Amino acid sequence: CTDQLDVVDPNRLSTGQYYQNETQAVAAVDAIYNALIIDGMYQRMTPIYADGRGDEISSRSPWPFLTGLSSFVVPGTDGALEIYWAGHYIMVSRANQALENIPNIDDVDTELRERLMGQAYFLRALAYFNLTNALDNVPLVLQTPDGVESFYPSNETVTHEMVYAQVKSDLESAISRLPVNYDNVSGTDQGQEGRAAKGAAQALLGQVYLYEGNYAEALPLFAAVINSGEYALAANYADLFSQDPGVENANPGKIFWADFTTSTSSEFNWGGDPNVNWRQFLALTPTYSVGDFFDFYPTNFLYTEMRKERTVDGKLDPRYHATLLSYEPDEGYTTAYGQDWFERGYGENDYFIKKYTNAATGSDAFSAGFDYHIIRYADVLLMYAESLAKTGDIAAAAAYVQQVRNRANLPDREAEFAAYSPEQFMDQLEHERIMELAIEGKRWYDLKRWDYLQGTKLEELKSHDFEFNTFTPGEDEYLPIPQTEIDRNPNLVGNAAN
Amino acid sequence: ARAQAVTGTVTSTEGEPLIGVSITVPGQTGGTVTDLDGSYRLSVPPDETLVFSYTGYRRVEVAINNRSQIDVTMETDVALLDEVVVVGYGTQRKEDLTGAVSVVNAEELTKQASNDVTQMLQGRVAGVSITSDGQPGAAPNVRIRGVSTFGLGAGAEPLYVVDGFPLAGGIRDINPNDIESIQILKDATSGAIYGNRAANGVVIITTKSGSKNKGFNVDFSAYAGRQTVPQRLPVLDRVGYQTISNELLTNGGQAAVPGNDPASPSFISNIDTDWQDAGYKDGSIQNYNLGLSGGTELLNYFVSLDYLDNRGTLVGSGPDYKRYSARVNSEINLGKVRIGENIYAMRSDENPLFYNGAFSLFIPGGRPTLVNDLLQAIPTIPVEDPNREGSFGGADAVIHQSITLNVPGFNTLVTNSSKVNRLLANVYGELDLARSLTFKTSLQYDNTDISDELFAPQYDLGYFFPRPLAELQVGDRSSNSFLVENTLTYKNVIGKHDLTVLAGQSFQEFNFRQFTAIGSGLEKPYIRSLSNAATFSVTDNQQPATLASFLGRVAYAYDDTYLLTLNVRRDGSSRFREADRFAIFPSIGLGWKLHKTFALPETITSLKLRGGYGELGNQEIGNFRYQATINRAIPYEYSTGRVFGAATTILVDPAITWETRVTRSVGLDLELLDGQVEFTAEYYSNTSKDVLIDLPIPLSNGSLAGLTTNAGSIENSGIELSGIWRPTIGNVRLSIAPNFYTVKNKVLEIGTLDLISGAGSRTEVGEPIGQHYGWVYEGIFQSAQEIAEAPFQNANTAPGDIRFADLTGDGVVNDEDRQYLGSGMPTYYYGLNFVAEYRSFDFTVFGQGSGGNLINSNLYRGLMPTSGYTNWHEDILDRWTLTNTDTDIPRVVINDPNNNQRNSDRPGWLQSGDYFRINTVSLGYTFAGDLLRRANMQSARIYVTLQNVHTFAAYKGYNPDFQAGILNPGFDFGTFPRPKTTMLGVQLKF
Repeated sequence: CTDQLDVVDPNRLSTGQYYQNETQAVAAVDAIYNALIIDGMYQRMTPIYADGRGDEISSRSPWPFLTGLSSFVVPGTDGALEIYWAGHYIMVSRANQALENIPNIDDVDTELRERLMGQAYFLRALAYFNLTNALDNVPLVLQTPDGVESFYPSNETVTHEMVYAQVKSDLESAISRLPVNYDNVSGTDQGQEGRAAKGAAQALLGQVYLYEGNYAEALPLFAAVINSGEYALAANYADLFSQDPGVENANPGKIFWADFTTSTSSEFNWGGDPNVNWRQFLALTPTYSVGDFFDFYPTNFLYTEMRKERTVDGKLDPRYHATLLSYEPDEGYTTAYGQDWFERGYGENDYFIKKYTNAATGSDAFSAGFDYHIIRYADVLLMYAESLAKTGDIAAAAAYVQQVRNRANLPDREAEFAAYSPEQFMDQLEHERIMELAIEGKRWYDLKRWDYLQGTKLEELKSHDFEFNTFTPGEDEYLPIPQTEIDRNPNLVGNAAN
Repeated sequence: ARAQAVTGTVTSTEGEPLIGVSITVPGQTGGTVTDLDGSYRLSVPPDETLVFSYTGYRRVEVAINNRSQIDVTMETDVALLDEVVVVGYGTQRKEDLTGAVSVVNAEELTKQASNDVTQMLQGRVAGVSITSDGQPGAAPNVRIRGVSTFGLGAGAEPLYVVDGFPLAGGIRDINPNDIESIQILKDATSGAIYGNRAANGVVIITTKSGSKNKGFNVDFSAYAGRQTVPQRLPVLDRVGYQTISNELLTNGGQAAVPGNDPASPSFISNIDTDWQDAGYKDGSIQNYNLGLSGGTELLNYFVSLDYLDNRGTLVGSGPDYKRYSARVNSEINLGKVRIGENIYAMRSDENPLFYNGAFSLFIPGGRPTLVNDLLQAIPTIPVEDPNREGSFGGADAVIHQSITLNVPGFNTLVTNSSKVNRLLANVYGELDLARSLTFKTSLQYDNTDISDELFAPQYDLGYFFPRPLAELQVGDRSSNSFLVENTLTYKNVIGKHDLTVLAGQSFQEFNFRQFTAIGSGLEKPYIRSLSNAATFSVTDNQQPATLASFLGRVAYAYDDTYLLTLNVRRDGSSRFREADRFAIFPSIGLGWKLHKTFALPETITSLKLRGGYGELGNQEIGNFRYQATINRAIPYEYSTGRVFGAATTILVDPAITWETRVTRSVGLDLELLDGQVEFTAEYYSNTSKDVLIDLPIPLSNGSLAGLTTNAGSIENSGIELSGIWRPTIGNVRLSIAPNFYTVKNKVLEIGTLDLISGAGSRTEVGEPIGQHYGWVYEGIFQSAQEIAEAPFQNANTAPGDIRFADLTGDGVVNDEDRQYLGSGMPTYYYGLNFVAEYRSFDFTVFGQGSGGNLINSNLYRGLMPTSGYTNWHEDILDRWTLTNTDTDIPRVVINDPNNNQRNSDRPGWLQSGDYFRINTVSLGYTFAGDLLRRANMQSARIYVTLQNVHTFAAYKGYNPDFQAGILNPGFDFGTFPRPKTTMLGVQLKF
């Protein structure tokens, strides 16, 4: 009878049977990428953690968490704070599993092994970069927990700087292992764009230094990316926000992104245990669409800022049309979501978010497949310009700014910018970053490092976005560490926002 | 007709004359009683009927049919002392029981109309709490002597054993009309024979059988009734809704929603939908049952056919439930060999509101029952709207800005059905090996096939609820269980020693496979076949399991005075790793019939003291929980296409094992006046050990689920009182049966955790499970000065916001200022059954209730948001404003900067759960006389029954006895209202 009691799970392979060969080594890394497309990361939370708190958009969501997040009043006890936290630590966990198990698999091509390890380091760095940017003193989990003791990591002595140090170390490990691209590698990863390449790790490391204000360290990293010859500005700005895989894959401006695809598979990729029926849709699309959840709308500040400068043909900046949705009969924009503007009940002067929505076509928002840009070339050019300007070379910086403007068909003002004072140049750069990168999760961190979150600058933000009226300096620079997580982990302490 | 003399004798089934039997004629005064020889003489018209009644015996009615001599044999009633009860792998005289066994009178139960027998048990049995909602086909939650598990991976439902067959799962499929008796084993003294599945109690159900040497009987019963939702919750109409919506946006410095703004061209003034009128309809319930039974010396049989049809009260395609069932029970008695079988076949067609958890696919946001949506719907949306795909109204993102689900629309567009086919069969053979030794073998087979189909067409239900693609889900759930059992029973009386010894072996195998295919993108006109879908998803899930056991019992009585029962079971389960696979569950019970030892007053017929101790197991933890696995279906897409990654996504504890419940109880059984009064008092104190907890390990571990591990301990204790009193007052025979019990729950251990957080509740060592937890209300701020002087609440607190207490006294109200706010679980329960019989009339009232708890009503709180875009309860009209300051309802303001909606004890936020429900009121009349004789009938009864007559409760939701999660016992997510039923029925015997 006792033999009959030996019943193994017929649905899944047991852990002991895995990590034996090259295919399984590759799968260990593929699993890490999957975390990019869940709610806790780029499917929704990572973009809105930045955009929602910035001054480009405001929230009118029926979900109190989103309005609370945007107006800096979300209490630490709000369970939704767990989504971002959990999503990022899922990526950390899978990266740790890959980093621990891949070195022990003998049957792997040596170069492939290096590439895989490099990607795991890069993705772990990305997760911690986002975690500490949003939440400050997060615990550093660098190994798969084994046994009850290791389930409760402490952050009592962890600082933002320590997390950055780990991020930098992981990125250095990644840079030394990653190829410049996957075009000619020998392995199943050949031609698989979307994997992290050396340029992605260098750009991210440059960004870390930039956020630290360590411009000198940032310069060579951005320069390496620009000089690698791997990337270029796509001719057409709007192509960056296309769902068409042909257009997406051909874009030379992509450096690293979360790959979402148009699909109607039955199970949504919010989170939970992944399976073959997962959709890979970008939930930001219904979140930002006036036609769907309508959780956010653009501020008048953004609307005004983006209409300030006209192209050499006297038209609105093409980036305006890719970013905001409004009624512009003079330029041929009279529809929304494939319908007449007024039939949809919108007023002549209404404006809504367009970037990452399906406003241009009106297709199903719940199968939206826009790739979400995490690092793209124009941002690297502008970050490089900022680093150059901050280290005194405004003339060189002006050239990179104008390079980005050229794609938008704007007047050549390179000489004018080159003659700017550092303050004037930074004001211009701020405008340029908004034009190029609005609603892409960058502005909040720009505001932070430009010291906008206190004093007169904060007053200026209040005039941009009423949500800053409830911003408390010294507390709301970060979101609270989820109270529910603190309740679960006696070694975890909150941050200034708790 | 002229009166003439009728004579005869009345005897018991044993042939003894019965003295003092009352004989009456319905509709006439007078009557007589039998004398010392059991004889009677009465003068009565020859077309009348005689009614014989006698305490402790079943009432008998006989049509005279011009006879002058009528002899009657009376059968003892179920309540009688000699009653034999089924205790698992055998029977015992009720008077010899040492364990806590409750016996339920099935006949009394079926005075209620329900698809589920457990629902009928609510309030009937001390120590057994039953909660359910009002959906047709609902399966209630049953808790015996408290909650002994956290429900984190482990089941909390009792084990159901039907005709000796331990079922996997509940008994929703079983036809209540087939049930002869129900025994509930509440402690280890009685339940240990079921070992590792008995920790939550055991419900033993025995179905009807034919009686030996009894003629062919036909029983037909039918009822039909109307069901309505008795409560209408007072929600705001258009004007009220628009007023509050505008006020809360204005208070937050925001513009009014265009549809609510009289200054806007989009202002809505011509729509005022009453969603409760639009969403509720009258439901119905009907049941027809035909039973055939009889028996000879050689063969007895019981055959039944049954049809139940229950249509719900929600407009659209469900919930409703239909069941067809048939049963054949028979036994061939060849003297030393007996062979029998119980075969039950059923088919049900159900349109449930939920489907395998996949419901959220259709509605974003993981919504509760549609009831919440129905009540929260704003009145400015029409029910129907021909301009939208699907022709139902919906909210507009700009004009309404409200997440309103059109429930009648949704429930009409989306159809959902589950068809269950089940065969439950067992065949047994008994062989008397010697005079005292009997061998029994039984083979049992249970096969269930469930076909699920869910179809959602393309529709547009407005903001938040678009459905651009039609979808069809087809699922098949197939489960079977095979059981083989062999037992040997030795039973003998030698002098003063009465000994029964049972030894046996059992092996049970379970298989489950669920296959679901989902196709989307079907084109109109729709054909509901997956072949018409554009894209597909498929899932497959297999769950095999096995159990191997040895079991034994010794029941010993000395001099019919001192009783001893020992039960033991050694169980092996495939759900645990090899090292922890087997466990032994023993119990001991002792009893002492005091009336045999001591000379007690004559009024005391019997008095028994009993008590016991034992251990029970709970292996309902799911399969393979100890096996760490790799998920190899983690998708990602590179430019070249989709790949699947692999990782461990859930951490497991390899040493996971069963939960153990240690039970201790003492009881006193008292009978007075030859059984006219029965009374039982019992005290129990149970401790559960190794209770599974979903150790909510920090999310920083990256596991998608908590670590399920054995680390908890829970204590439940309480008293149970139940009794029955059957007085006869003149011509009125009464039966009054009250019961009362308490449950005191206390968590002793939660592993390394200090607490487990629930929905506004907490579970902590030393406290009961799931107590409400939050801030303390101290009133409403009336002025800025008050706010300035008070402990700091929030940067934007304004007059009209709630002042929460600063419990720590540190000048700031924060998370540290939360405390326990009351019990989430009832602490006492009670029930009362009252039956009166007068001549041909019978009248029943049954009521039950519970109390001692507070309810966090998701439904009510959802209707009282002080920041929101949905509709409100009328209570919001009393919100704080500059002109209405004497109130306990805070101001309405968008974004609720003071977080007035947080978990707290502010008025209305926690409502008393005390209730008493008059569950059943029934009036019947039994016909007699010519009419019956001509129709060849033995008896005919018609009755009218009102069910769910009235609930006395302060609670502002639907059901104070809602079904809840174990860790959130006080959280009413929004249950489906129980209908009020008015029904008419007949019971005919041929």
